[in-house]
Amino acid sequence: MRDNRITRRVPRSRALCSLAAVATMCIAAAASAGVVQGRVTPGFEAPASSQLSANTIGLATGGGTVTVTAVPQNILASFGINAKRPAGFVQNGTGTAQGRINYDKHGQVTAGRHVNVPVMFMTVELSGTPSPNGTGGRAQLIGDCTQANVECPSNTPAFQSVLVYVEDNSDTGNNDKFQIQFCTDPASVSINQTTCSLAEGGPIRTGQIQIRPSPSGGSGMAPTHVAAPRLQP
Amino acid sequence: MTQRILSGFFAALIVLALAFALPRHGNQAAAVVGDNIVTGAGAGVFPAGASFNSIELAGGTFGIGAQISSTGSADGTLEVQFTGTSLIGLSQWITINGWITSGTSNPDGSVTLNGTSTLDMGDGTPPTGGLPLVVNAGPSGITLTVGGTTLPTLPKSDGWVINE
Repeated sequence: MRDNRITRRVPRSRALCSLAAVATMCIAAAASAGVVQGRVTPGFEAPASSQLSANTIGLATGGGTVTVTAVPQNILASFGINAKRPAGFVQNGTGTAQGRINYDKHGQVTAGRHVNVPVMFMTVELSGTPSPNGTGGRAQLIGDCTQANVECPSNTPAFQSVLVYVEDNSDTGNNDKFQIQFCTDPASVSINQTTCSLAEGGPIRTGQIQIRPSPSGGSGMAPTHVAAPRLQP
Repeated sequence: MTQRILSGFFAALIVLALAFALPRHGNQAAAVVGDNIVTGAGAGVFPAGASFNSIELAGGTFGIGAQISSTGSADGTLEVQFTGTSLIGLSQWITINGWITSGTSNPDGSVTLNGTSTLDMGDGTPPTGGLPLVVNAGPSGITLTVGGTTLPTLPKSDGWVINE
């Protein structure tokens, strides 16, 4: 009697084990396919709520111009930005990044026209509704003014860091945003923004910002940009 | 019999562990973006006689941000704006927006970036999109080939083109 019960239980247990193994293999295969396709699962990378995160893996690139409000007349400035997570990046809240911030005011300004700093930290938010090219989101890049061979505007006390905020709202650059501030606080992922100057820039005039979760592998179709503004600086 | 059941459980556990371990490893690999970062922002002045589409070119500005991977694929963008004078003496701004998809680093420190672009002649006509773009950018200046036409090199007199 007892033996019969055992023999009835054992096949049931074996069947359950087999089902569990098949299910987990299916899950593993699906997850691996995502890795092969370079897919970034929001659950792993992005916070549940929409916010800039020091742990989100992403990369930011951009180039273009912005109008800087000035007296007696506004100034045209060019920018070029790059930021990515370093190899072996650990999602521990430090937000380490590498890249560069270039910013060049073209007006008749005698001092503080140039910014050329390495990016040390970054926070990223990936768009929940990316463009067909897989881009969209916003990022904050923190550059270091204290390293060798860098350029930052002079100030007393000295600026120690550069804070750049960018938004990627479209593939055409329409409604994208670039803002730059200079801070007396040292570069860190949690920079004290009360130590920063007023933001320069805003909606970009020409060019575009691209924020994406991972390298696209060279894909993507360049959309036709809107006509550049006719305003002259 | 118990051993068989236990071995089944252990096998399932191993597969489960792999399922969790592999995606994490993959995401870390995604953080390794590329071997080269090309950043630039600046301006330049054309030598006398430079022209494009009958526009006499005076100078220009540029902004670049591109990341090139070891496979040669790239992500990034480029914006160049040239100032010039039309045949009837009107000021004209020519704008080129590029979407970078591949690139290589050259032995002289410059980079060659490829992609597609939009050309806005700044004369009121709609911008033309989907034009093949080749960019050679280095410390001395920037040369663009848009839709098969090579524009005069913009010598860099201000700013940077940094390949690192």
